[in-house]
Parts: sequence; C-alpha cells; structure tokens
Amino acid sequence: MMISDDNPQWKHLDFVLLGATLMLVSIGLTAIYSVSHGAGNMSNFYKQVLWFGVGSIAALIVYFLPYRAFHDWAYPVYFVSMLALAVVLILGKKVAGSLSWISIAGASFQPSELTKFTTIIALARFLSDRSTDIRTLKDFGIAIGIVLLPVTLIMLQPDTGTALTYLTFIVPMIVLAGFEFYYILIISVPLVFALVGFINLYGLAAIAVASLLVFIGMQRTLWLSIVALGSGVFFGIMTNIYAVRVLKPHQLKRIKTFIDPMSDPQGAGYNALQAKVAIGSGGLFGKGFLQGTQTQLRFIPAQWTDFIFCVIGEEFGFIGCAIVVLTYLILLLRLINIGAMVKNKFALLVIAGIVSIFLGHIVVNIGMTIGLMPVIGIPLPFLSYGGSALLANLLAIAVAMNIYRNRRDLSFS
Amino acid sequence: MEEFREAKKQEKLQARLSEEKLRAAIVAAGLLLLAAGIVVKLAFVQILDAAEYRKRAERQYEYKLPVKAHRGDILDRNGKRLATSITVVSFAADPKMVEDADVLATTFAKAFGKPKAHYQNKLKEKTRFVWLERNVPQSIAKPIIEADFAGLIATKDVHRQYENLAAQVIGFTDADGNGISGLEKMLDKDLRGRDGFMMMQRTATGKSFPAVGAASEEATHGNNVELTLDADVQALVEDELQKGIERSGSSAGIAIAMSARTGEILAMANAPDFDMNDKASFSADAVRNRAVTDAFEPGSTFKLVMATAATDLGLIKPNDKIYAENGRYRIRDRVITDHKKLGMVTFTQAVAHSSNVVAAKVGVKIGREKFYEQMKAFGFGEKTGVDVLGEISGNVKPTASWSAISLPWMAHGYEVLVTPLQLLCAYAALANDGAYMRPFVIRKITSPTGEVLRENAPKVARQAMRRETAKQVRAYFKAVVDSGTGTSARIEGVSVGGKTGTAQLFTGGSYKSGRYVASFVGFFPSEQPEIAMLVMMINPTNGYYGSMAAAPVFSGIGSRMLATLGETYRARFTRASKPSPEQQFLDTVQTVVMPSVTGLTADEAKALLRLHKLDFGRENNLVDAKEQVVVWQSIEAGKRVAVWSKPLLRFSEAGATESASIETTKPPKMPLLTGLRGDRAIFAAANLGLNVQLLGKSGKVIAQSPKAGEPIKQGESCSLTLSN
Repeated sequence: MMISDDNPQWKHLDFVLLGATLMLVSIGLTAIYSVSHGAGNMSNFYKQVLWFGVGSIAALIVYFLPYRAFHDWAYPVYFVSMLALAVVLILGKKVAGSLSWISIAGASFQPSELTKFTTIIALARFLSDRSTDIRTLKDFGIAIGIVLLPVTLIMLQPDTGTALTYLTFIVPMIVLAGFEFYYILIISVPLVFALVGFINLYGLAAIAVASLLVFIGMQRTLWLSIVALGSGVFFGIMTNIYAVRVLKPHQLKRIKTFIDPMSDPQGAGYNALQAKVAIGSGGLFGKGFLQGTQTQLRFIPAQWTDFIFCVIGEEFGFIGCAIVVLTYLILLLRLINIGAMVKNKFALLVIAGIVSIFLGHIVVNIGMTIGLMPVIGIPLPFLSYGGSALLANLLAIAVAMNIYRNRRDLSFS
Repeated sequence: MEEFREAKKQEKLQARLSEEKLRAAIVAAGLLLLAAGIVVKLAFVQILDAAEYRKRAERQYEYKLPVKAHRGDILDRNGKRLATSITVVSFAADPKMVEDADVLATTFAKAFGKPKAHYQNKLKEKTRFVWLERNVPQSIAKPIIEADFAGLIATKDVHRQYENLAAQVIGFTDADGNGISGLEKMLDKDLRGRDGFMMMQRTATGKSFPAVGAASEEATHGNNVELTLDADVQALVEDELQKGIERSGSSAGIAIAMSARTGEILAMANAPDFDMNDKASFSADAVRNRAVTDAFEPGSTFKLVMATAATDLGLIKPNDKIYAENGRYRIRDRVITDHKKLGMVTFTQAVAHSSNVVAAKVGVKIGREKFYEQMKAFGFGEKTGVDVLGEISGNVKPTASWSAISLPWMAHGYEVLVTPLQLLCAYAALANDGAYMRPFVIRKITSPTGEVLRENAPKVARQAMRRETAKQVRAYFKAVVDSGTGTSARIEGVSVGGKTGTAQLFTGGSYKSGRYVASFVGFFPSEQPEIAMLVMMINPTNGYYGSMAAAPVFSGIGSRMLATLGETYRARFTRASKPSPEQQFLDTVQTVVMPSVTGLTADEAKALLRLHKLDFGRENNLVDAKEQVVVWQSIEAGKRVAVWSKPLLRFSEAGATESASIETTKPPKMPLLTGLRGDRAIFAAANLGLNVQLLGKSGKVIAQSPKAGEPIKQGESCSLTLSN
C-alpha cells in the first residue's frame, strides 16, 4: 500500500465520486430491470449485476495500485489494448453488423470500451513528458497519431459511433497541454463552415460574422484569420452548392434526417421519435416503475443500451431525468474539482480526458433521446446495459479516485 | 533585488494559480450551462408537451378492436333461413415469430386434412405474413385458437350465407357486411346490429392482447326479419321461370305470386339471377328487381281496366253483341288490328279472344273520366307502397294530355307504363272482390330475443270496384282460360281466371320491331280466388304471344304449387275465419241433407254438422264434449233441410258412459252421402270408421253402398260411386 501518511483509509476515499457513481449504477440497474421485465427475460439484468460485481473488484484493485503505475505502464497497456482491437478484427464476432466483440471465457467483451481510457492515459503520458512540445508539428502529429490509431481500428469494425467518442477528449487535452486554442479554431473553421453551409446559407452567414468578431477579439495573426475565414466561407458555399446541385434527393434526405431525425418520422427518424414519445409521455412524475407502456411494450429502440434514458424518462418522468442529469453534473464537477486540486500535469490530463469522454457520451446520448442531437449509437455511462462499458467506466472512476487518494503527492508539478 | 525577484515570482505564481482557477470555473460554468440546457429541453418535452406525447404513445400501443355484430337473419314465412350470418376464422402466421413450425404444421395438417409439408413450406416463407387457412368454421378453429401458438394470427370474420332464393328481393352485402342491395340495404339498420369493441394493447413487435381493465363493449346482434315469401313456393317459381325463359328464348323474366286476400307476396322472382354467395357473379342487370323497378306497356292484360269500368257503369252485359270489325278498325289515321279476326261477338267472347277492336270501342264508350278514375282505382301511375327497394310509379298520363286516340289505345293496353307488381295488384284486387290490398314482403321484424319490434298486417288500400262488379269481371277472365287465349294457363284440378298480354317492347323511346313483352296475369281458384300470379317474359324469341311464352309458365307454377303443397297450401293461405274449399262448395247449395250423427261424440257431431252447413241445439246438458255421445237427433237422417237449420241433439248423460254405451250398442246408421262432393263424402264416411272404396275419379257421389239408414259397423267397407 502506498499510503504516504497515517490518516485512516476512508479520509482518502472520495465519497462524492463514489456516491454519484453508485447512484448512477443503481438507476441504471433499475431501468435495465424494467426493460427486462417488459421483455419477459431477466437474464440481461442478472448479467449486468454480475458485471457490476466484476467491475467493482477490478476497480478496487485499480484504486489501490500505486499511482506511478498509471504513468509507467501507460505505453505497454496502450500497446496491449491496441493489440486487442486488432484481434477483434480477426477473431471477433459480429453483433449488429460490427466486429466489436471477443469472447473471453464465455463472456463477450468489447475492447473498444476499455481502449478509450488506455488511449487517454497514453496521450496524457505523452503530453506530460518534459520532452514533448505540442507546439511542434512532430509532437502534435504524434499526439494525434495516438488517438487516430484506435479510431482507425474501430472504424474498421465498423463502429463509427464509438470511434467518434475518441474525438471528444483530444481537443481539451492538447489545449490543456499548451496547444493554442486559436489554432484549433483556425483548423475547425473550414470544417464547421462547410457543415453549416451544407445545411443552411443563412446559418453560414451568421457563423461567419460571429467568427469574425471572435478573431478580432483574440487579436491574433491577421492573415491567418483572414485565410481561415475566407476558406471557411468558400467551403460553406461550395458544400451548399454541392447539396443543392449535385446530391440526389434521396442522398440529401439521408443527411438531413441524420441532422434532423424528425423530418422522417417513419424511417430514419423512427428511433428519435419513439425516444421522444417515451420520454414525453412520462410527464412530470413518470408512469411509475414497470408501468411505462412504451418500455414494457418495447416501442423504444435499443432500450437496453443507447436509449436507456427513455426508460427513466417514461417511468420516472422529469423528476427522474433531472436527478440523473444532476448526478452526472455532480460527478463531472467533482472530477474537475479533483483536476483543480492536482498540479501534476499527467494526473491533470488524465482527469481532463475522463471528464471529456464522459461529458461527450452524456451530452450526445441524452441529447439524441430528447431531440437535441442526431442519433449516434453510443451508450450512457453507468446506465446503459453493457458489461464492457460498465467495467471501463468503473475503472476510470477508480483511476480518478486513485488520483484523489494521492492528491497530496500530486500537488506539485 | 532578490526580494523583488521573489515577490515577482510569487506574483507570477499567484497569477498562474488564479488563471487556473478561472479556467476551472469557466469549464464548470460551461458544464452548468450544458446541464441547464438539457434540463430545460427535458422540461419542454416532459412538462409542456407531455400531453401530446402521451396521446401519441396511446395511439401507438392502444387501439380499439371492433367486435363485429352478428347480422340478423332473413327468414321466410315458415322460419326458413334465406340469409344468415356465420362466423368464420382465418388463420395466418408470422413465420419469423413461429417458435415450433413442426408442431404448428402437424396441428394444421390434422385439422384440415392437408399434407404437413403444405404448411411447412408456407412457414418457411421469408415474409412476415402468410395465410394458412381462410374462412374456417368456428368449431374447427376453436381448439387451434385455444392452443395459442406463437406467431399464429387468427382473425374472425362474419360471412353472409344465402339460400340463393329471391336474389333480387333480398339483395346482398359487401365484403364488410354492409347491405348494398335489396332488403339487405333497405333493412341494413335493423339487420346490422351494433358493433362492439375491445381495447387492445400491442407491442412494437406486433403482438396484441386485450388490455386488462380497459373499457369494452359487447356487440349487439342484429334484428331478424321474417318475410311473407315462402321458400318452397319461391323455389318452384324460380325453377319454372327459368325453364320458361329457356323454352321461350326470352332475355329476362319476372314472376310474382301473391296471396290475393292479404297482399302478402309469396314469391317474387327475376331471371336471369346470380349466385348470391359468389360476389363475382353479380351484374347490374341481374341484380335489378324488375318486378318493381321496370315499367312496361302492358298490352291486353290492361283490358282489365276497360272490362271493370264498363261493367261498373253497367254499359255492357256478358252476352251483349258487339261488332269486332273483322279485326281491323280505323280510328282517325291509326288502325287497331286483332290477332284473331272476329265478327259479331258477345262481350265475353271479345274478352276471351282478346279483341283489341272491341276493347277500343268499349273504352271510348266508357269515356275519359271514368276510364282514368278506374286506372287510378287500380293504383296505376303510383307506387304500390310495397316494402322492397327501388319501386317506381310507372306512368299514367293525366286526361288533359290525352290525344284523340289515347283512350282507345289505353283500352287495349298502350300509352301507359305499369310495373309488373302494379299489374298483379290490380288483378289481386279483382280476385279479392274489389278490395285492393297493399302488397308487402316484410311480415315482421323481431329482436334477437324474439320480441316483435314491427309487424305488417294486411291492409286494404282502397276498394277498386264494387263486389258485384268483381264477380262479373272475374267471369270474363275465367272465360279467357276456359275457352279463349289463355287456355295454356289452365291448372289441373283448379279453375283459373286470367288474361294474356302481348305488347311491343318500348325501350329507349321507341318500339323495336320484333321485340315483345309477353305476359299472363291471373288468379285461382276462380270461384274464390286465393292466389294472384303474374308471369312476364321479356323479349321472347320462340313465339312471342303471352299465350305461348307466359301462360304455360303460369300453369306450370300453379300445378306445382297445388301438387307439392296440397292441403298444407290450403291451410296456409286460408285463415280460420275464411271458408275452406269444402265450405265454398257447400256455400253454393241452399239445402242440405241431414246426416246421421247418433253415436258420434259431441265434437264429432258438431264437426260433421258444420261441414253440412248445419247448426244444432242441445236438448240436455253437455258437459264433456269428448265423452258424451249423441243418442237422439230431432231431424231424421237423410231428410233435406235448409242450410243452417238447427236440429236438436240429445246427449248421453255426463259421467254415465256405461249406460250411454249400452244405449249406443245399437249400431250407427249409414248417412246419406249421395249428392255430396266426392272429397266431402269420403271424409264423412271415413269419420264413421268405414273403409271407403271409390268408383270414378271426381265429382259428386251418385251412388252409395250401404244405403242411407242401414246399420253399419266399424271397419265395414263402403263403396261410393262418383260422377266422373
């Protein structure tokens, strides 16, 4: 045990983080119980309980690991996890069209859930090295490469939704490591403008004006800003012309329904609509545990996993949803708080990565169920059915709690 | 300097720390904003729009399953089902949901006697819906439904089944069970009942089950309709009509039989018809009930109006001579011709041989006003009010728009348009001593529990002519069948009155040469008519005269009606209050022979006396009409007395059957049967326990053995000699 002072163990335990996590897992199990009840098959519920048990033990081990281990084993673990992703492509089994799973001792496991965090730790290790200067093109390239490797492997499965989640932590982490946010803006301007231009020319005009004001406010290299804005507007107009002139109506429709599912309630928007109907019909207090008609009659698509939030929305109403959102908020704020406590760059970057990826999942998942986001198939942390994700998330929390436990040692950089 | 540097460093650190704090605060604020955004959107969805989403959800998982009401039956006058609804079940499967295709296939193979592979192949199909068996009777379907196979879909359906009689009158329903033609349409509200519903829940995968505790409503059966039609009569009418059409090469035919006394329609047939159980065989032409929807120029059958009006006015007597102009008679620039050239003839002969010339001459004599009045009295030009669908009123021009030749032409059946039913009702009025009965088809409508909701009773619409007039005019029409153009309408055993008609078919505003409407309208028995009947052939090609195309059909129907229905027919159409044929016969006799009633019980004596048109008085008390026997009669047997005389009868003492039997040990005596009509005499003899032997076929009894007054024994043989 690497305990530096003689304070009792529980003083080092982060009760806020632990409490929020347990709360979320309980809510998740409740929702999964309800869905299992509707399906008339409780096996998924028991499996999830089992995974929670396994995850808890693993988390306990991680919690008591020496802090240095994360830093020192970051690259080997990253390497092994990338190997696992490669193995999945060769030996994996196909579920819903994707080669995401491998069987280990009879249990199905999804390595891409765990590699999210091994990638975060490896990136944190690289960015926190004294020899690394993110402002150089070489190191910037290596940092991007660390993330692009798992993304590429996962895209090959193919599981685009999961791959996209890796993009949530890269920007915050490199910015925190000293990469200028200004350049992020410069890079993203043409991409964002192209997307907005594709949808709506007025939106393009509005975002161009807004960006111009931001660049003026930042008072950075004038010519770079002008080039970025100029190319952005150019790309925006080009994609708009492309959308109107070149794309066939059905292709255009496919993209439009991705962005706004409600424009096609029978087809692509069916899931989004069903989700909204379930949540909306729950009302303020919900229909009650096991009383949700949309849940029990299985109208909600993928209600075990991606749309688990609908079950809570339907059966426990606005109150239930608000409690879930509040608990996530407490969890994330606490993680940020821990990040603010530690001065160690590696620890800070790890926390930043965890916060980012959780936040990404939560916002996209809840957003898609209530019609704020397009439908992207990613799970809700701690709540969705899925052992690999639950295990990975519990381990991430264990890492954060490990950092909290060692916060004294990490207070100096 | 050092201090300064230290302070500077400290300041820098402070700045860095506060910058970090600021950064963390900004991130936290951003998180809060995000969370707030989500919560606000949640509030919109779950609080503001909750009602709408709730409704939407309910629409999705809950639905009303209509429970079809059992459609009421249409019955004939004897309770025979002409149209009835049976519940059938159709089975389909969702092969994807079927758990054990083998067991399912075996069950179906066993239930429907088809090879197992037949169902296995169906269950292998890559669709989500495949029919296994359709329209299965409920009894077979029930055990399969109760087995509750996964993936099996059972749907109940109500099938309308028809007896295939009176197709155009009854009509039919569409696939959804809505009446769309005939009585099915007219009485749809009564027949359809009220559909109920069940609240059902369904899952996203399409499984449905009754919602527990939700409101539901039982279906209410439709009302039953009982018609005046007689299925047996209808069947033989349709059969004869079809045969007649084939024989005469007609394009269509109409036959209606009606109870002249009540206006009840016993049969209403149209040919060609269609298979009521095969919706594909329907054609607009075959579905029309021409008996009421089509109007024709009647031709000679319309001479009824002329003969009635003339008789009513006393213009003409049966034996008055009229010159028939040798079959050619010019009025203005038009010529009336007769089929048979006649010279001086009696009016009876003129009617019997259907002289158009005489009809025209008499018609002119009658005058416009009276002729018009008589047409109206017979109901021509207006609907009869019959309760079937689609009746038209025909056309009788008001006198003001008549031309100079209208009256003579109308007199022999042109310039008017009448429906077959109108024509029949006019003849029925003649048959019914002038009382025009409103025709009807619906006898009563009863609720599923048997309660009578509505009932039609015979109704006299008006008096079309005086009683005496009717009697006289009937004689003219009897002569038509006895010795005129209508001889081919004769019915064996019954005297018939009626009239043939042959008219050019008036279609599309002009007469088509070579196209005719041949008809025969009549009634029988002519002395005391019960049945009025019409047969009409459209466009016959093998001999277009009414006497050739229609009259034989009339005869055929009448013969079969009598032969197949016999006594029951009489009982059915003659109400208790009306005299039986036997009584009708006795009606014509003013004096009767007193029969011997001694030895008979009071009931038997009463019945025998009634048959002889006699009453009786009691000398002593009558307590038990079945036990007490007649021991003495005040008028001797064999004596001729006036009808409705009242002989006194003495009965044996009540309760003293013993002594009575001693008194009656004297053998009963043979009554006088000579002079009675054959059937009556047979009845009386059989009543006395005699074994009757007949000599001769019909007519009156001209000789009897044993002689009247001779003692007779039970079982003794008795021979009666008949006049023919």
